[in-house]
Amino acid sequence: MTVLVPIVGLAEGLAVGAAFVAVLTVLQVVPRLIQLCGGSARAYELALALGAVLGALNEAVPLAVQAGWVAVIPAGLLSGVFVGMVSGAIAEVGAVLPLAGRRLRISRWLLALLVALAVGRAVGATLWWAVPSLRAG
Amino acid sequence: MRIFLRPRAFASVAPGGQLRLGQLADIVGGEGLADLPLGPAPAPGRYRVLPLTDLVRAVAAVAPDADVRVLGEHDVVVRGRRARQRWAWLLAVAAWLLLFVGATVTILNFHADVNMAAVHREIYRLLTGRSAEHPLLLEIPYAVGVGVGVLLFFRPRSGEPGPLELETARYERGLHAYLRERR
Repeated sequence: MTVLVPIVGLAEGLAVGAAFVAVLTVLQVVPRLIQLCGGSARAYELALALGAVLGALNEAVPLAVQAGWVAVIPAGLLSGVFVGMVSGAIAEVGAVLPLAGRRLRISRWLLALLVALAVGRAVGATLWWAVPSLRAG
Repeated sequence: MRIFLRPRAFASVAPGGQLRLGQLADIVGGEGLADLPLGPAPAPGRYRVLPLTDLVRAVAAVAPDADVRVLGEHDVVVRGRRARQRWAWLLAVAAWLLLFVGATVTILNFHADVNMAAVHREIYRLLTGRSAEHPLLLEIPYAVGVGVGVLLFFRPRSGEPGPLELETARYERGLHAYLRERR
């Protein structure tokens, strides 16, 4: 049965990897990035693939580069930006903001709503780190 | 004389100077029509929407007797081309790193969420009857599979556009439709 082990692992990985980027594609995260920052879709695909492999590999062989805060600060910032971007994109799939703007007739304040959502997320993340009871359980 | 105009849906032009009809539409018939001026080109990164009626009017002004036929229904969206900036690649590198770190963190979060380590140990035990703290035989193919899965999703067949290219095209089409309607 041992021969099955790598096959099962590979199949599991295929499913997880494809599902991961399928979600990102539906959220249109990468087209937005291409519009903002230029660059090619091909390069960004590679970034997603390499990053996902690195994350998955960490479970097999715990990885460590001893680079100190020089690496920690950008990594924290980038992962924060990524989570913010994805959470914004998820809300956008439901077109919550434009709908709320139309229904409540506050389309003119759409930017303010957007800022409220962004600041709210930042406050939420800070509270989560700052209040220990939130993290318990 | 019969003149056919086939307007482009979108044109990216050098900023400053005049828009010319030839930049906005394919022309069949008539002479020298490609150089007809159609107002100022938009500034770098800015958009301008040219109604089809403007194109027809410009042609009619120089060829009043012509029978102008427009093959298309969409107003032309024009954008001023951005000059290539020297530090543009830095932005792309930052976006690359963003996706790289983001993908790593997402997989780590997912594993923590579903307790992947325990599941892998259990699968390994089911298949081999032995238990291992780090079943590398399972986990390394798994990690390879994640990467291959990502690339498989994006590149189903060579020569065909991938889902990212399609999503980018859809995104741009939506943007252009918005600009046309807002005009």
